[in-house]
Amino acid sequence: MKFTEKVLSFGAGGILHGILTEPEASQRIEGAPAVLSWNVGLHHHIGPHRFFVDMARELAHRGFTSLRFDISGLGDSEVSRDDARPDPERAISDVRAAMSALEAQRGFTRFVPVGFCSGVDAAHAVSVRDERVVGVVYLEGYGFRTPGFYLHYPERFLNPNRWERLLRRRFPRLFGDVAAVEDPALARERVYIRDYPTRERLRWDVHTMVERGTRLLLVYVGGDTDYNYPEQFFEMIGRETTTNIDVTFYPKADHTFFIESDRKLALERVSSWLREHFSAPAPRQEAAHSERLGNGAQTW
Amino acid sequence: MKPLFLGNTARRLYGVYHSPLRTSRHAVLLCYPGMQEYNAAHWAFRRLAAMLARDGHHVLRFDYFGTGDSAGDSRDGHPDGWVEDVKQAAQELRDLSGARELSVVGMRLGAAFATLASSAGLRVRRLVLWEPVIDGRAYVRELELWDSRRNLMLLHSSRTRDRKTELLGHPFPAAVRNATEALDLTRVGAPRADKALILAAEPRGEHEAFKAVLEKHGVATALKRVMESATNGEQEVRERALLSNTALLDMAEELRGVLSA
Repeated sequence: MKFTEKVLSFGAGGILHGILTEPEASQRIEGAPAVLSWNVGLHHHIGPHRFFVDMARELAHRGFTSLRFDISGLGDSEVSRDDARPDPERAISDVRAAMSALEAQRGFTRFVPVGFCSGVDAAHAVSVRDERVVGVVYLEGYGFRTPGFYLHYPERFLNPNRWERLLRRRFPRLFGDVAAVEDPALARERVYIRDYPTRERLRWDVHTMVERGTRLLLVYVGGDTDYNYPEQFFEMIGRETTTNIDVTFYPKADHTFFIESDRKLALERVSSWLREHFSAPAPRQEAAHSERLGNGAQTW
Repeated sequence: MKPLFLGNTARRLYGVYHSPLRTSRHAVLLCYPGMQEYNAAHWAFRRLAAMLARDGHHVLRFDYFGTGDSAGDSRDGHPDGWVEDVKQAAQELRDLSGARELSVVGMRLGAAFATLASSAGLRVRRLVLWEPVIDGRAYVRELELWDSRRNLMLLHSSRTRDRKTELLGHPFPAAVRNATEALDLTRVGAPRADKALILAAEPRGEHEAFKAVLEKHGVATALKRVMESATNGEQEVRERALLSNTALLDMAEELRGVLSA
């Protein structure tokens, strides 16, 4: 085993709990930031399909320390009875408490939060405000429909997979599953409730982070989201802000990376991005790059 | 609530220990369902653990090898090993708490593992079996049906349709499939349990058959219907059960009987 995993309890009264995954000493990258992850919706800290466990172990092999933990009141973390703060405010405070705990106990001064779906909200808020954040990963983060989105929209009518799905939903008897369309669990899964910043706010926040030297990795998937082509993010925030930002679009993946091979691609993207930008202690700025990877992903 | 790692270096298991509000000689081990149903059950298990600790039980909930935060890749787990994990966790709970007596609560596949562990020598006061998987083949078929419906959400479901090594977003290697399909609790050996409680939202013939088997082995067994409000299907019954108190209260009530005995 090239890493160790320990329970880390932190925050006021030690009521927040997480798993600290550390590479063995010979593998550790000196001065590298610590990576943080937490709940996705009501999923506890392991993430959908154990995403954050696999991520922590993969990152440890690459020399990075990470902490996956539960926001107070969720998963294995407790919440103080006196704590009446709204959930988003508490989440931001808990992420900062995690950073302070790693600073106090392991000497980390730089951090990379990884937000996934609704977890992006706290990742974004902390990253904008806290200068200890040198990089931030948005997995299925904010999407705003742009003129480019609508230009690409008709492409869906040429996609045979969409027609097949429509037929399967409309005529389940043809495919041997009578109850599928009426299954209320499916209807619930189609709804993802998010607390978005305004587009102007997002543009300003990204600009603030980039000016500070913070690096951003944004990973989007295809499907039924408000994001449908790789460069859409730059249309969302304005093309004048492109430095320090990497965007990867997986048109065939779904929202929670349901298929194992898609999860592996996303994990590989996060770990290679960290390795590329945070293997050396000093932060640096580079222009956004564009390339096409050989795995279906489109990166800008 | 105290998270910890247990087991040995080669097979470290993650667990959360809930200490009782008062001195107790009785401990309860909670066995999660399989990884396909684990995330959905996590919150209910946390609530159940808190309820039982308030009642005066030492409680441990833990992740099987290759699941949750325990060591091992998701492809490395196997039902035989998971049954051993139940025995290992039970021993650790005894050591940790000093409790002399133990009961086990298992949900779905976890109920099957709890029963098999008890049949293999784990001595328990109560076996509480929540929607137990009795017929492994039927269980796999049920998960496959959900999987096919879940795939309706995907744009590229053709990528998963013929891939039998994944199920509901988790690896499902052939060895795990074969061992799961071979599960048949109506052929289980005698569990070392005083009593058993089977909880089911919709009691069926298989529950009755399993109850009869346990009783034949000398385990006094009750089959209780969990009264949930009207629903549209088995999956929703289970979802409601996970969010409601009904099943949790039934289990807590059953285990209170051990404390007062």
